[in-house]
Formats: sequence, C-alpha cells, structure tokens
Amino acid sequence: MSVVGSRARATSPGGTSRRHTNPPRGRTDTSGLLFVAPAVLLVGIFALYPLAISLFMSFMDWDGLTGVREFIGVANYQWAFTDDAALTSLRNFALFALITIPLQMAIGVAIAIGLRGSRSVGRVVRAAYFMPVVLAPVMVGMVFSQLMEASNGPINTALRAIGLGGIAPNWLGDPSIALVSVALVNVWMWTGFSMAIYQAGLDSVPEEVIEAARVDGASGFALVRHMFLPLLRPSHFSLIILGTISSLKGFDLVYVLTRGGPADSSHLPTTYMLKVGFELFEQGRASAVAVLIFVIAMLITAVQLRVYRRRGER
Amino acid sequence: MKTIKLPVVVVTAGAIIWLLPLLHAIQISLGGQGAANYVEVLTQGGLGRALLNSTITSGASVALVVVLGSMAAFAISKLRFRFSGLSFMLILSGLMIPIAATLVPLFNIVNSLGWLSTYQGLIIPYTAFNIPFAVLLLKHAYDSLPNEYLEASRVDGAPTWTVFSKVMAPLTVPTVVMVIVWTFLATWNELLLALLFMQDQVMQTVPVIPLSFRLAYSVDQPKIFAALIIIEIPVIVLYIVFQRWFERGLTAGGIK
Repeated sequence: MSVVGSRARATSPGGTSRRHTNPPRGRTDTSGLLFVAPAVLLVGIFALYPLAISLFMSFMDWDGLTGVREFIGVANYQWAFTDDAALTSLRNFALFALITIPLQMAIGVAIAIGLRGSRSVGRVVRAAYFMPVVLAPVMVGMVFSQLMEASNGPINTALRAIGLGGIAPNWLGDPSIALVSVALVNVWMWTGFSMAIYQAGLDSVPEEVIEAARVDGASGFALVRHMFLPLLRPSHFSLIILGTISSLKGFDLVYVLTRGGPADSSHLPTTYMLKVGFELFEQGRASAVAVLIFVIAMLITAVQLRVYRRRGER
Repeated sequence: MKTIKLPVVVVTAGAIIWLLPLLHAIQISLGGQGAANYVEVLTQGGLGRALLNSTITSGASVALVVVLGSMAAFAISKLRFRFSGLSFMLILSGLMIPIAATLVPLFNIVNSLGWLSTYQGLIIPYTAFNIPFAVLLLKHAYDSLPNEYLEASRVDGAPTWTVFSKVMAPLTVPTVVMVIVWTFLATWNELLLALLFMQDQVMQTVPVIPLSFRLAYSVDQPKIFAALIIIEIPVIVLYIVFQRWFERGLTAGGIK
C-alpha cells in the first residue's frame, strides 16, 4: 500500500471530454524515440529486467551470498506450494483482502453519502478521514503497536475500564488474530481513500437525478439503496481491484507491526519472501515467491482490463 | 434543507474518533521533557540529516518523474514514430510489477553499480517505479490537447523540443501538480528500498529512522513519537495545501 501501487485509478460515471488520441498525420518523427527513451530504459533496466532475473533465479538453488547456483527445475515452486508458512502467507493475502476491502468500502461510502451536500463542514471532516492515507506506514504501524499493546496499551486499558477486560485480546501477540489486527490498522489507514473515491463518484451524479428520485418519494435508506449504491458501481469496482492489488503488495504495516509473527502467522507473501531471501538465505525460493506475486498481480490486472473493456462496449 | 442533518453529525463525531490515534501520538511525544523531545531528536538522533537525505531523494525523484514522464507522455500522445505503441506498453507494464517481486535482482544491480548508500541508489529506482503511473496520467492530459497546436508550431518551423517545452508542457500543469504530489508522497514514505539500500546510517531516509530509534531509545517512547511526528509534518502540510489536488488525483487516472 503506500507502496507504489496504491495510487488510484478510478473511473467516475459520466464526464467524458474530447480526446485527441491519434497523433497528427504526416511525417513520422524519429525524435519521438529520444523522448520516450529515458522512461523506457529506466522501467526496462530497473523493473522489467530484475523481474526476468527473478524468473530465472526461481529455478535455481542459491543462497544469494556465494556464486554457487544450481539448476533445480520447479523444486522452488513445489516448495512454495507445500511449505506451511508460504501457504499461510497466501491464505493471509486472501483473508487480508476479505477483511479490509469490504470494511473500507462500507465505511467510506457511508461517510461520503453522509457528507453529501455539506460543503464547508464536509471539507474539514473529509480531511480528517483522509489524513491517515498520506502518513508513512512506519508512523501508522508504530502508533498502533503502542495502542494495541496487550497489557498497558490504551485500547485494552479502555476495554477494561468499561468492564470488557475479559475480551481484551493480545492484538499483535496472539497468532490467531495478529493478521486481523494488522488488517484493522489497514482499515484505519485507507478508509479515507475509499471515501474520496466515492466522493468523486457522487459529485458526478447530477443533482436533478437525485431531486427527481426525491419527488418520486424516495428518501433515506431507500435513496441510498436504490440510487446511490447502483450509481457508484464503477467506484465499487475500482476499490475492489485496487484493494486486492494493494493487499498483495502489502508489506510495510506487517513489517512494522508484527514482522510476520508470532510464529510466521501474519506473513503476507512479500514479508515472507523477504524473510526467506534475506534471513534464511534461500534466494531461489524467495524468487519463486516473487514470481508468484507477479503472476497473481497480472491475473488481477487482466480481470480489471476485461471488465473495463466490457463496460466500454456497452 | 432542514436544520442540521443527522448523518453529518454522526460522520463528524466519527471523524473525531478517527483522529484519536494521531492525537494520542502527539500526546505521547510531549511526555517527559515536553517540547524538548523534539529539539533533542532533531539535534542528536540523526534525524536532521535524514530529513536532508529524504528531501534530496524525494526532490530529485519527483523532478525526474515529471520531466522524463512528460517527455514520454508527450511523444506517445502527439508524435508518430516507430515503436510508439510498444514503448507505451513497456512503460505501463511497470504498473503491474510490485517492487517486492524485483527486490533481490534490483539489490544486485544497485550493488554492482556501486550505488548502495548513495542518493542515486534510491533516486533512480524510485523514478523507474513511479514513472509508469505518471505517464498514464500525463498521457491523458496530452490526449486532451488539440493536435493543431503541434501542427501550427510545426508550420512556424519550431523544433519538436520547443513545441513540447514551451507550448504543450505548460498546458498540462494541473496534471503535473498531481504527479508531483503523489510521487512526493510515495517516495517520502517508502520503506522497503530505503531499508535495504541505505546501509550507511548517515544516508538513511526518514522512514527508516523511527525503526532504528526503536532499537536505540526502546524505553524512551516520547522521543520516538516526536521523531515520527517531525517526519510527517512535510506530508501533512503538503496535504493541507493541496487537498483538492490529492482528491482529484484519485479520479484523473480514470481508464475510460
């Protein structure tokens, strides 16, 4: 998240402007190559080439320290699909997405609809919810490791004060809930982002449409259910895709809050890959995990493109 | 319509609860010696140098992303040349590559260039990983500028570079601001590469500092939190000044 990928691409309903997508006709301009060369070279050398190397390394047995490498076929992939911690990290990715995405969407849409039409107050209140989005995950992680501390942390202290001490959990130290705790922190951090996407979607709904529905007698929850939620479908879709990809790339919060522990219970694929590569010195296996992360990201993007295209056809 | 609406009240109350963790962080940072915590971490903890390092790496990355990204976006949108489509695809494919998936080879490349613990060791990878999104946004901006501008200047005999830098690029300023804001945010807060590539303590960027403070000052929570708040001040100020641009950035990339 934070991570380079969590910037958004979201469509808003309506609002197309005239586009000049075709370059002007006439002579070809070889200087075009000079214009694109720096960007192409940078992406090629520092993103695509390393990816190709990862693919190559994923078929090797290599500790990353010595020059000794041995071709071992798909053994690293077999390991990835049988190793308990690797499988846990893949399951955690799915669980993380299933917790964070619906919560962030539900709270985000509620805020956006709740603030609809209130300009001045809305601006300030929205800024409050959006603030965590711009913070460094390191900051968020360290604040919440203090808040979620089991014995003296403010959250558990508050729970005990209202007589719920019995359920005060060891948020980050209990293997069965550590990942859930990290996911909740993610919800705090990224709900403002969902809110902003929905806000943009709502802004493009013409006021007359809402007035017309009101005249027809729709109000309150009926208006939300039959009017806003269906109209915001493009925003829902964008948030599901973005949320899935950022869960996949998610690294910082887990790294700062739990380091994947206790007992490897809260690893995401990225944090586990880091541990395998740089702590256990199994670069071949780490590369196999890296390739799996990329393949999953590609599949998600393919689904995304297909749905966009289908929507374009209608 | 009527007086104060109930949903607004509920959402506003929620916002106050939402900010409690931040207020709590500020409160902790003022514990012990109060505001003196801030002075001490700035002068003794290496934080001052880290702020300088981050300013240099983020600033240079933002500049490179804007200039190189604009050049690529302009050419792909407005010039006819061989491999134009292929170039665009190559650049966009960078959007799908998680940094983590390239980490080990990337580390080896940076290492073999002798760039570990140097500014360019972070600036160049940051530029590479942020340029795809910038090109996507900027190409939309150039697509919406009429081709006639280019043709008219051509007739006047202006070289392509002049048309780009003097005529077209200034018209994309709103998108450029967005690119600046998001690239700054992404690079200022980046942890993974910063952690691995800046092994010399003097070269560390701000997100790494609190982690090393956690080791050094493990019991001195107020100092750690003072450091956390100092490193976030630039992004919070940036957000408050550019709130509108942040939110517009969310929808502008829209793939139609």
